[in-house]
Amino acid sequence: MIFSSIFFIFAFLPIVLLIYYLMPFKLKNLVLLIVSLIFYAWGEPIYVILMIFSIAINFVSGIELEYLMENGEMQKAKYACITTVVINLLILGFYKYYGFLLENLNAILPFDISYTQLALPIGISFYTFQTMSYVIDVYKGKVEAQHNPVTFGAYVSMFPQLIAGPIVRYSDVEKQLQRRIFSVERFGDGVMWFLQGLGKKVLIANNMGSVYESVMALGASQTSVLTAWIGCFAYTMQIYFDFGGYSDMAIGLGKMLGFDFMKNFDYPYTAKSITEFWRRWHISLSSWFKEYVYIPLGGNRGGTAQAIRNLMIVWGLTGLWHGAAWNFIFWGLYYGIILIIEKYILKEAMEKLPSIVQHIYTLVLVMFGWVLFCSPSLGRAASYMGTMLGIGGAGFADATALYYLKSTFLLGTFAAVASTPVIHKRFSEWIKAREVYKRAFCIAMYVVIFVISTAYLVNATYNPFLYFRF
Amino acid sequence: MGGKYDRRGDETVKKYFSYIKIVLVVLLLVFIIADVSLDQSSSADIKTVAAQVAKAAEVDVDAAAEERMVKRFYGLNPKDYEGAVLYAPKDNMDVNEIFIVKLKDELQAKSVEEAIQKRLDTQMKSFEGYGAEQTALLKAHVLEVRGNYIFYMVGEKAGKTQKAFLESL
Repeated sequence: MIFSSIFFIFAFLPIVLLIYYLMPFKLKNLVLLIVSLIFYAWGEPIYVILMIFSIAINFVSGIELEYLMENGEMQKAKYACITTVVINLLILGFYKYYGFLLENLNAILPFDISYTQLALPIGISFYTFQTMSYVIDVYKGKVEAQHNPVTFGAYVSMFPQLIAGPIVRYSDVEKQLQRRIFSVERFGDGVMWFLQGLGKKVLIANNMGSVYESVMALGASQTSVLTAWIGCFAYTMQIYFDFGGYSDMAIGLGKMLGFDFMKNFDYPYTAKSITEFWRRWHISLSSWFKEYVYIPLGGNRGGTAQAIRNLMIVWGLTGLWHGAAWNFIFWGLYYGIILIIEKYILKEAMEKLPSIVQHIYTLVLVMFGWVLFCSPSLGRAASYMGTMLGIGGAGFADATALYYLKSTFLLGTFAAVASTPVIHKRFSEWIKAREVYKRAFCIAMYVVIFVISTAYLVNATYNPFLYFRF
Repeated sequence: MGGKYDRRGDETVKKYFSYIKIVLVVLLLVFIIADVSLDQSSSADIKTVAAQVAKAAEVDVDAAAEERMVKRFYGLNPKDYEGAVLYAPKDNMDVNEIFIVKLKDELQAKSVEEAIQKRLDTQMKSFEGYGAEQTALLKAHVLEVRGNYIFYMVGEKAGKTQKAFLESL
């Protein structure tokens, strides 16, 4: 089930909210767990069992760890923690990377190992990272083990963020699982976040996605430099508004249910460096890797060489996390290399550059990164990048490019402006303004977003979020 | 929390949790083995599958329709899927048709099946009453969903082609 669907908006969500609010607080986590399992089972009737196993194993491990540590058996606790993390990684590795591993083995071995391409359980990368952070945090003594399986199950399976994050750490919602504040203002705030995300997904991401797909369908000989840049720009906007839209909807749904999730995006395309971009893009994943991989590896404490090694490990893994394909690994390493160059070579020089140059530098590198990310193969990525740089293709610009430029100009300009804080900042001010007309305008805009998005959804085919496949 | 365990006896509780964890891992392994054994997804390339199907149906492998025809006939965007191959009818009076879709995600199966059913209904309505031969072929259509593949065919050799499709996966 996806948030941006008629069924979710007009049937699932209202029923869930009605039951949730009618129940006394002590039963709310149980309701949340049940509806989350239904939400997941709707699309993954088999893999909901896998998720229940994951919940159960990590729940038991948390209590086991707490017990061992309270009895001073630190070595056994360490062993139990490692075992559970390995079990989590094996589940994730088997379902996500098994086919990739065998495909690559078959490419180098003189014989073929036959295998079945397993379907990827949706959201497995997200909930596995949540459960691993929980077990590690219990071992480190940062959080107490959860003794109520319903509460723990509700945390892992919570439907607003189950499929595509943000990766909510147990430490961030531990108190909220026990006690939450409900109010009309909070609920209204949640509705606004949800509608904002819906509009981003349905009105901007899906339409920019159509432009990108249309450009990608052209052969290399029909793609001019300008067309290639328009296609790349379209994907740049699509992925931001798709994933950012999902995160906004998740935050909004969380607020409607009484939870506060961390923001996952902070206007990443306004960054002045790649380092800053990654502080603003998919924040929950970057901070997860920093806390659970980079710092345990030693971070930058062991000198430059060790820090560079650690950064490359983290960024290789970040790439691999996104998908079992070489282009994702190279995409991660691409960022690893840029971050190292920025950290050790360019940092001071970049700060002296005019702001606009820093913005252009960042956006161009990010856009080339997206080419690596979205291409079906490394060869296709290289050829597309070549076209963007004027190698091959159909010259600098042609009639096709002008057609795309004209037809995408308005939406593209709006998307570019909406990717900065300008519109949101004005809305945030106006929605709280004393003047009635300002508030009325904001409310009217949300209604318009809702109506137009619904109209789009009525005729839409299945159009899942891009990050569902990670 | 420690007090709760102390009252029940350290060793008992310890063994209890270790036991549950081991049992859960064993059950998980059983689930994964069953899942792998029953999984019908195929890593076969759609071009290879389409070639085998075309051979069995005795149509020219290279006669596959353009992507826009998939949109026109089924209202589906081929880019949303791992791949989609359509062998379209040659003219307005022809109903012979083969449509193969490799899904990116098995969740897409329902919407593709619905689109195929819609196409079939439209064709049935078009020939109802005057195209007895076409209607008979449409009624004898084959629609097979196997893991991440969907196969739809209207034609005399539908049964034989369906077998070739399944063998190609």
